[in-house]
Amino acid sequence: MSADEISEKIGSYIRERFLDGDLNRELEETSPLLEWGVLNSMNTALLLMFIRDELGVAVPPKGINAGNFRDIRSITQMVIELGRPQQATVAGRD
Amino acid sequence: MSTDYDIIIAGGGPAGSTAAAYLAKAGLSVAVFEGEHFPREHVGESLVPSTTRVLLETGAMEKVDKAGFPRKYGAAWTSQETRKVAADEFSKLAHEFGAAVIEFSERDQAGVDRDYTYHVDRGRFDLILLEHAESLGAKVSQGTRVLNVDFDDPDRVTVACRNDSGQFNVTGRMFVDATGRQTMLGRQLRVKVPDPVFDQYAIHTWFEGLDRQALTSNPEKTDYIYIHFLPINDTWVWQIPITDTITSVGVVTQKHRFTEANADRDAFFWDFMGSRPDLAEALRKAEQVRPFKVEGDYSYAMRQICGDRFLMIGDAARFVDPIFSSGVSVALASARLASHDIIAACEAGDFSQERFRTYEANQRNGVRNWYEFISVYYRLNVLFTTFVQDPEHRLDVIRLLQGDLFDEGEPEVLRVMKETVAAVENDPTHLWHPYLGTLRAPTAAPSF
Repeated sequence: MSADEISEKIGSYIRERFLDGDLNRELEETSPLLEWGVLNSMNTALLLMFIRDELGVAVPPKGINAGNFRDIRSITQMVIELGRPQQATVAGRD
Repeated sequence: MSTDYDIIIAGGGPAGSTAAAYLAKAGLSVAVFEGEHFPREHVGESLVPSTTRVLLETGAMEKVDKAGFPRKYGAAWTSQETRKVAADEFSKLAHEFGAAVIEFSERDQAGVDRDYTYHVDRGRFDLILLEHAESLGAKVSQGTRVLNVDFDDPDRVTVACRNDSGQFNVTGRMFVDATGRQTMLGRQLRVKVPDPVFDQYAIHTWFEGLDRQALTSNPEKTDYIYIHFLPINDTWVWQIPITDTITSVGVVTQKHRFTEANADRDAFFWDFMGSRPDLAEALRKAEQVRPFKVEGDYSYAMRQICGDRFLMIGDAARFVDPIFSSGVSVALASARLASHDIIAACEAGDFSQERFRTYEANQRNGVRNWYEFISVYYRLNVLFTTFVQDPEHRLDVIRLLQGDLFDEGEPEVLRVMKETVAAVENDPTHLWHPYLGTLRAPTAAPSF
């Protein structure tokens, strides 16, 4: 799966499940999800399950930080790195 | 030198009666002195499956089975958030804070022949175990309190007791303290150490007619134990079925919250329950059938749990917190381990402390594992629920919840959980960082 495809899937999921109205139209790859309050505790859990079930990538608990979940672009980057054979880097990213 | 008995046990609760059963079965002469008259009320009503192996070994299981206690097939954790979610999404949302469901049938256990354990009325349960010990030959005296143990004679112990008729002494080859949270011997020897971190407080009662279905998103699981999280740090509610219609309910919180609230028991209970309106509403519709009872100062350890001619078992050796229903299972596991060493000591005619090292090592290890599991749980609830939901860790967590943690050093899953807690603590940008609880136990726990 290409970066664009992953980014598109994540964007669609966030749009469908977490957003409505203006924010839905405004959502971009670099929209600050944490600042918007989109990724509250419940939504983060749902998104993690989506990434695991639909993208086949398990995000290790240590990787659930602001750096990785800042925006769609950073989430996409994390998914790509975790999907590579050598998975160690993102997992421990502080 | 002859003594009145081989072994004298103070306390006829699950630890004392189980040790008495093992020892009597081995042909030893055993006396059990219990201060109360059974049946009497007692907190700690939910068992975990590791108790099954012990009850089968002592032969008490047949009698427990016949008592008709509610079967416990699993455990569930709820928080306010999950109740808002449609039922078909519940399993997915088990990933969410505070929400999780496990079934004991998911993992087989050595020596356990069934996929359930029991919720018990401790008045009846403890009486069954005590009478079972008696039927095996133990001499049981109720209404008899042990006051003091004299270890001055190197060849025997002299135990001072008191009942309605007065005070008297009995002698034995060794002494076992199973007095529970009274910690009779720990206080006499001044080896009791309050836990530096946990200072929890519980207030509990029984309700008649509580609609358990109203409190779960899965009606098939109303007979599970429920741990309901309140939106207050480190505070939760237990819901334990006692009969078809009676439910035990208790609030556990930090003691300082009760002190600061400056309210009576009733007001405090209902005030805290009000933070979960769904729970409060269901409880208001039920009838409270016992006065509120409180438990406090129950987190402690002992610098010494065995010595020449004595050892401590169950709560008399250590207690931490009721969150995972570990109390009776620790009592039974420690009675089993201790009995093994006691029987060997009798055969050898040597009751020196060295004889009880195996017991001590296993007991300390098992309770330390419980302690660390409990600590991680309070420190970061979301980690527990995440691990329960993660296929890689789920069975390992269930193993802990089943009570299988006396056998090896530190279970790998505990090590990983502690490591993750440390990572979250050290990363302020971690999305779980704001959810860290206020109890920081692992670093401050007694190291023995």
